[in-house]
Amino acid sequence: MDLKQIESILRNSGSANNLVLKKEIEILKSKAIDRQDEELANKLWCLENINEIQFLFISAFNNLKKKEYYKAWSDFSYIDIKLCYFREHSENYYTDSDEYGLLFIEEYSRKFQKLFPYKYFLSRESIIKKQRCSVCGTEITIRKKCKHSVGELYMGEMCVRIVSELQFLAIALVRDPFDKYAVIFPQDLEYNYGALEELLNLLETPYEKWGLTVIKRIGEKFVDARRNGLCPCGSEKKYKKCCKNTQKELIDHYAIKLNQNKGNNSILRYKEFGTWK
Amino acid sequence: MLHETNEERKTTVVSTNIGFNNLSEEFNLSQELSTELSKANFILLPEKKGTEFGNVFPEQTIKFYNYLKNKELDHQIIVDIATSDEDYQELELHSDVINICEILVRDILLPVAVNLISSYLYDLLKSRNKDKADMKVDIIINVEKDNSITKKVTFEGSIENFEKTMKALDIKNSSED
Repeated sequence: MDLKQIESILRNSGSANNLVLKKEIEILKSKAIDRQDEELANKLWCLENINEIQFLFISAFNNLKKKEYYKAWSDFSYIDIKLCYFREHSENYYTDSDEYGLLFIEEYSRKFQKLFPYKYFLSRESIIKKQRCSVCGTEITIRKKCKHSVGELYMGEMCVRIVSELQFLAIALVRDPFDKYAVIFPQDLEYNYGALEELLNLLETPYEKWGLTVIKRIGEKFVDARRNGLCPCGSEKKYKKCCKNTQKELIDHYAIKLNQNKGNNSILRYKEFGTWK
Repeated sequence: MLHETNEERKTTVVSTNIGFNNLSEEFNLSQELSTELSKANFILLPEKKGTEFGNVFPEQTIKFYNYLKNKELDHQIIVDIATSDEDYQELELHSDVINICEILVRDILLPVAVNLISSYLYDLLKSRNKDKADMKVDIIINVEKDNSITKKVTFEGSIENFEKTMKALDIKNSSED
């Protein structure tokens, strides 16, 4: 398989067997490195990433279909991280015409993620004491650097820092970490995946379009609350002195809109899903 | 350093003892390093984590330092950092709040510092593909005036609000929190 054939497969949203394509790209890249053809090797690094991102998106969708929600979440999180590093090198692939489907994947990964009930994550806190360059191995300090820059491509590989000495400090509970794999699964509580379940019953393929609008509305328990009555949040204060007219009584309302030609009702009926079952 | 913040825009101004003349005592620096730092007018400062852990800088401070070094000529600044190479270490918080290390500048350079930090943050924003209203930052700038009195300006909020807020800030006449 040559470069043009690989590009052509990836333009059609990827191969059914991404491992075969991955192998083909590796072979070409290895040949490019042997010839010291850095431009081609870097191009093939981009194709490797596109192949993996497309595969992860399909895998996430299939996991959602199988109700393997955490696996799907991990796939979407990995897509986020891959795209973050890939974006700077993607000018030929991240085009307005979206030949490689990357804009679609980015948009829809975010939309799917919004419908997950996960709100809190664990995040590591540590002190990085020593780090070295992944390309040349030089130990990097504040005033001593090598000729390689983090995030740049060198002969088909992205330069990163390898941490060689680290002191672990703590685990923190956060809402928006950079990588979102460490989801909390408390004992005796079960996440409510109702919104995803509803949507996935109606989607047939990963590349099917659907719309998501997010607006704030008053949560169900606050709708009939009386000004001078007890606040529904359970604080035992008067509603007017507690949550009334604050962000606390508002919830995100997601309106999902499916393709017009999909059945009679293109908008799903209103349902409220809490974080837990 | 913050793990995360709900603030859209929070600025505080307080007096501080940190100044260009007392960095060596403040951060336990060698005489040789202190001499080097005395040539600078734009210094990156660590956060003290106590005797057990020493002084730390936020993640990616090396990237930020190199970015500023590359701007020295264009902006007539001399950048340095209050640590030796041996003692340099980064605190990794793994959160989506961007923590930039504390900075000490002469008051005349505050607008330059704000511009440089803003453009650095906007570059980061592009790579993360986030909306500028969603990306939260935590920034501390110590501004030393002619009379050697230093004001510590802390900003917590979105990148979008950082530039606007700092440009509108009147350090000389601002009241302390």
